[in-house]
Amino acid sequence: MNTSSGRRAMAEPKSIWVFIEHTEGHIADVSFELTGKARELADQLGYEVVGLLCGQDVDALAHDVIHHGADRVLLADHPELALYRTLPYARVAITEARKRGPEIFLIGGTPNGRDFAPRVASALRCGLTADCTDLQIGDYYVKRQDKTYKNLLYQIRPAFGGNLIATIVNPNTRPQMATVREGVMRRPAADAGRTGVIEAVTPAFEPGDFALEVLSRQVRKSTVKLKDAPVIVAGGAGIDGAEEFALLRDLANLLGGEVGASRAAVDAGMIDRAHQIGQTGTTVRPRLYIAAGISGAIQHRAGMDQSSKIIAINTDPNAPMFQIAHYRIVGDVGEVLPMIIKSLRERSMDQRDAE
Amino acid sequence: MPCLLTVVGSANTPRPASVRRQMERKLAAAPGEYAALRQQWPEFETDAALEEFLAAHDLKIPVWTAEDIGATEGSIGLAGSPTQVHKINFVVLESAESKTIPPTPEAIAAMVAELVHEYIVG
Repeated sequence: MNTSSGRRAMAEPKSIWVFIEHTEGHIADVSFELTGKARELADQLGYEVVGLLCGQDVDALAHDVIHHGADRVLLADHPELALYRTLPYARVAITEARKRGPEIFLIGGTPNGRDFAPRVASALRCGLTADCTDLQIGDYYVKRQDKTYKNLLYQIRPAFGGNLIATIVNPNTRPQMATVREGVMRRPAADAGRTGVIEAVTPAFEPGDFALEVLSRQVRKSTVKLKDAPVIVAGGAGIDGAEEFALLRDLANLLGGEVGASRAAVDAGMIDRAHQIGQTGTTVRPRLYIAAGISGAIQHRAGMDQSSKIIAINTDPNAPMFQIAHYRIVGDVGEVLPMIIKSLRERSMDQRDAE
Repeated sequence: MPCLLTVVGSANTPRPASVRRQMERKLAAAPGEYAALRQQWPEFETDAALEEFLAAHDLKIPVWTAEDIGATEGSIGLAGSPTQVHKINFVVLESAESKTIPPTPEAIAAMVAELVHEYIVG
């Protein structure tokens, strides 16, 4: 809150914070992506980018954060912070945010980030916008008060299920908090020459903070690599049964790609949620995106509209997906996919013959 | 205590609703429904009489107001929200440079050839 800024040491510049997530000694991609975005916004405003890093023996990671654009890392290194737990992690953030009064606080929309962010926002009595697809800086005029709020964080995200994009602001509370999912922002290149301040902070835990104990932890490595796949063949509600879905796999294998899905296909149980693409799934920008039987709701498009080439296959000529597609095929997925597969197989056979 | 948990959608398949309990509770009502109920049952001459009957049979659905939970008007709803909607935009779909491909083997093969030529696939 601005009213609490009096408590902030005068020497400390205004700041944009990023919650730095990490597992097994590696910082999550989304934290780097957000550090890059924070850098961009901070340069517009003349603010400082601050990474909040909690953990045990994680000082090596702090340099990584600075190399990706941070000016300062608040490093809370403590045995009780070895693994993510809501209360101890939130305690560090709440205590430091009260003390330093950041203007903006960005958090990755991961399972842990989505657990952490509302806890902190609620304690600080400030607003939080989830799953933003864009962040910008701008002014906000309130007619009722004839007052213009300068340099607010525009938290931009699809809204109300329709083809609407809402720009949300927090005029009166600080920090302005937002979560962004992995892959939405671009990851900046590391600059090993970049320097910054690593500032150790001592957690001020309270007795109730250790209500939860982690007894054991098993990490299952995801075998779905949607984010880095050069080609994605995705199916939606227009896919008729398992047999047609298998065609998606065949085509993806032929192209060296991955199978993706719209929420409709996931909800119908055709494929695991790990394959979901869109605002609440994975955000991708492959070289080629084949949308088979996906009408193209805005929540889905938000996760794939940056793809270099989009092929849309749908029986409904009015499907919104056709409007962003480079190749529009009005037809039945069960007929069109085999044609693409056949054509690719023939080409590779011709190639083999030529060799 | 209590311990608050959240689970993912695949954590459990809920059992079907119990028909017996549905039958037992089908008369349960909240105050907002009293007027309609009393038209069905004119023997209850006042809301209070109906409420007394429902409460006695454990069929009264209690409704909490902001006052009951100690919330002030400024702390709930739009007035209580720190976030405000600055603007709403309709999405204008970018009409990319696009081609319509008829669903025929020849046209599809031509499209694939084009993609290979542009190094998109292959």
